[in-house]
Amino acid sequence: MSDAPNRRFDVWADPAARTYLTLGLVAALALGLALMQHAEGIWAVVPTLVAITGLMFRWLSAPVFMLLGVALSLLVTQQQFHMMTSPINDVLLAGCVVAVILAHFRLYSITSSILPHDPRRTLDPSRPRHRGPPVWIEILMVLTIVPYIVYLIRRKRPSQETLMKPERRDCVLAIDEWPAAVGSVAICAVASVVLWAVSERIPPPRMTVPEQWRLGLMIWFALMPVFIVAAFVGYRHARRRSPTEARLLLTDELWSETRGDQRRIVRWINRARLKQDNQRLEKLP
Amino acid sequence: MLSPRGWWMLLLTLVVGTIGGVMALRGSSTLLLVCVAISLWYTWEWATFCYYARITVRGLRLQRTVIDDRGPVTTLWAGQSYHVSVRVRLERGRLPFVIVSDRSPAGAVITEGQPRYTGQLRAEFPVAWKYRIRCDRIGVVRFEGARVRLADLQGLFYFETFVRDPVEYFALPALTTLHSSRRGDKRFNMLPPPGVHRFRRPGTGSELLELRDYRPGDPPKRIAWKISARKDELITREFESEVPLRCTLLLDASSATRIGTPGDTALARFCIIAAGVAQTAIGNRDLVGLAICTDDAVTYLPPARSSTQLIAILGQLARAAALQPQVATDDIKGLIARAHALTTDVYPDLMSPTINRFPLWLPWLAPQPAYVPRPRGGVRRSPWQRLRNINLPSARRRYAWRKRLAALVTAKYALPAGTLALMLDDNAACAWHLQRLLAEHRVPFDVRSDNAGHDAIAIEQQARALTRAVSRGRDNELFVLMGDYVGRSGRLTELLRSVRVARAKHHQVLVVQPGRVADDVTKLPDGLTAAELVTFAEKQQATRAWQSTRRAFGRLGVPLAPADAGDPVRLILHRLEQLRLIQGAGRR
Repeated sequence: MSDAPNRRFDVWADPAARTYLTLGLVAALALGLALMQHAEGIWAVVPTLVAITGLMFRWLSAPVFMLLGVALSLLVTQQQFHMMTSPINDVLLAGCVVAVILAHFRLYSITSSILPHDPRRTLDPSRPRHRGPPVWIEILMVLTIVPYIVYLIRRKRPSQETLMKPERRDCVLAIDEWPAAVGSVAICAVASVVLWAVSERIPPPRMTVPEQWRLGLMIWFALMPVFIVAAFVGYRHARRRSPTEARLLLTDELWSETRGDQRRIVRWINRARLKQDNQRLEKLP
Repeated sequence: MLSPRGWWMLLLTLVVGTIGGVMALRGSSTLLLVCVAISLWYTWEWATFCYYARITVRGLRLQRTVIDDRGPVTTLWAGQSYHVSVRVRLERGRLPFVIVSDRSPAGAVITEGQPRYTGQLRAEFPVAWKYRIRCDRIGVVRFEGARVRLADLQGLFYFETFVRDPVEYFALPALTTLHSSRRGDKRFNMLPPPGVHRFRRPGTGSELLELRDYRPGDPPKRIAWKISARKDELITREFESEVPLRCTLLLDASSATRIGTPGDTALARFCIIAAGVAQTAIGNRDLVGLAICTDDAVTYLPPARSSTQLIAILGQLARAAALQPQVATDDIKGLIARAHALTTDVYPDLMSPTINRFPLWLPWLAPQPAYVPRPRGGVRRSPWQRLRNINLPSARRRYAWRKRLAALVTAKYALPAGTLALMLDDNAACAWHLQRLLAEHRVPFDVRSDNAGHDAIAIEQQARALTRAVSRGRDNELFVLMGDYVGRSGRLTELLRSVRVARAKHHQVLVVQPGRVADDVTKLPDGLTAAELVTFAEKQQATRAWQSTRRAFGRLGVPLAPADAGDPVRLILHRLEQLRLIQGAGRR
């Protein structure tokens, strides 16, 4: 999570970027308001400030710290006050957190990069590979061993010069995507509270602590869509598999089932071949 | 499928969700609900992306057209530039963000424009883009397809695949020598050799033979009007018969001549020479034939002088120039690295661990036998070294690459199922199949072999082709043998026998050999280092081999011409002119 953002990008000139920045700022302010229902003072302000700063300066790690800040503020206030909140406030808080994350990442995709670094190296004709004696900078780095070690450590990371640059998205994000995004955020926030309410109505089995049962149900509710989607997509993918893919799968399966026997046969063949080669070499003058 | 950004978010959600779960057990459910909302949203985004990546992207269709100034073309010319127009269509649905990059064609370089499209793709709106390529060498220009990279709008998920649409275009040799080497003057005005009587024969040539009285049926354009007016009767001009010459080019296209950088191999040089000769000779209305002798077959084009023949010859030469070596070797390290790089790019679906598995425990439970990792004749490794090799990350990685490549090759070429195991345990078989894969995709590779290309078989093929051409020859002809014969004096018996047959039938034979004439090094200078001594010995050996080959052919009156020195095209054409003289004189 260390892609350098393109700070020269004019956010206000791009309609999609402007929309997501606005959406993120509004969600961050709403997050602050929702948090004030739980916490006071700095605990309500810090996650909001982190979110706004991250949006304004396109700091990629901002959502991580914002979420940690929310968790910390809720944890601290729970220990202090043991407050009970209304479902509407929960919906608002959950929706705002998701909206900030969504807006932040989409804004970052527009202004900086959407794809991860390509690990494949590319030839750069403007910088031909240096051959010959080391240049002065290499000698200097060798002499100052500590910076050189730092340089080596840094060189392991993909740099902009040696790797393919990530693709920038110049207005390629359609402006009409944001209503669907906001809708999905709202649905997810409401669904989480509804599921929590539903889990209360399902009676726990005997000898089960109700809170643990509810927690287990929530985990199941969260994981169930993953299993369903994985099964559906996997099935559709298998149905559309090409003949070569199917042949490869069967070949692989056959090999894994009969690997030992196949290997034994091949070793005998190889042994015979090597023997023939040796005999041929012995015959040579 | 998860990008680094996606992994971070997933990890964070799990951590915070765990805290939220603990808090929920204590009575505060807010954080848990936040995490459930995030996970639901995350799942929704993942499901949508899975649908795009696994199902929608399979409906991508690619259409490529190569265009020159006059329109679409099916064959290219070396040294020319062309526009490549790519059109991408989605069968149904949409892809919110996609990068479609046309893979750089093998055998050509991109000179202008970007071969890629970035943005949204919808079924109802196909996208198209153009870029410019230049063919630098003769052979084949191969387009593999397009690399497709997908991402969701947040950059949390990432998927890469390849839309394969292999298309090959022949890059024919450039028509540069046609006009410069064409015979512009008239026939030589030379006395016939002593003892040879002129035998004049009327024909359709350009030299005036005689004037005679007009006979009904003579074409009016042959009437000599001035003379007819002077004599007051119709006089007809009669021209000499053309002396058509037949030249057959016999190319050695065995693996030994294909080794080297693509476009700079001995075979490519032969093809350029043969193309120059063919263009000029057909331009002079001479008949040109071609025989390309590979390790296992001979492609033969009987002599003809039509423009169709020229195109056919150029096409065969382009196909031959693109051939890559296929040799028996045990050295597969470089081949595996190349093949893996290629297949990761072009066959990401077949190299995917989901269908092409490599169990982690495989190197420990079923290590490769001792003879596999070392070349034949190498030093046997100790058990400790073998154990170290099993656990070395690089060795494990190579083993995994090899297994995946073996499975891919077996499935792609529909080979018997046992080929996978054979390729894993047999270096020679593995090298053979990987060379086939790389050659099909026009990826250059280096191979080292003691008996590069079954040279004896190739020479036999060439001898057989020469005998066949001689048996079908009608008149005195010129046969040009192009091949690497230096250092193979012991294997030339069959070929020399065929050359002798050709010479006995009064045909002319010329041998073109790759490389230059080695300098005559006889005296050993003083004060040489070990490396210089080795170089000196190698030079001396090359000189002896060259002289030996020249002697072998010279005994039959066949000259040996170097392909890389002087101008072999002019030399062959000069021979052709000499033959024309002899033949023309013999007919008079």
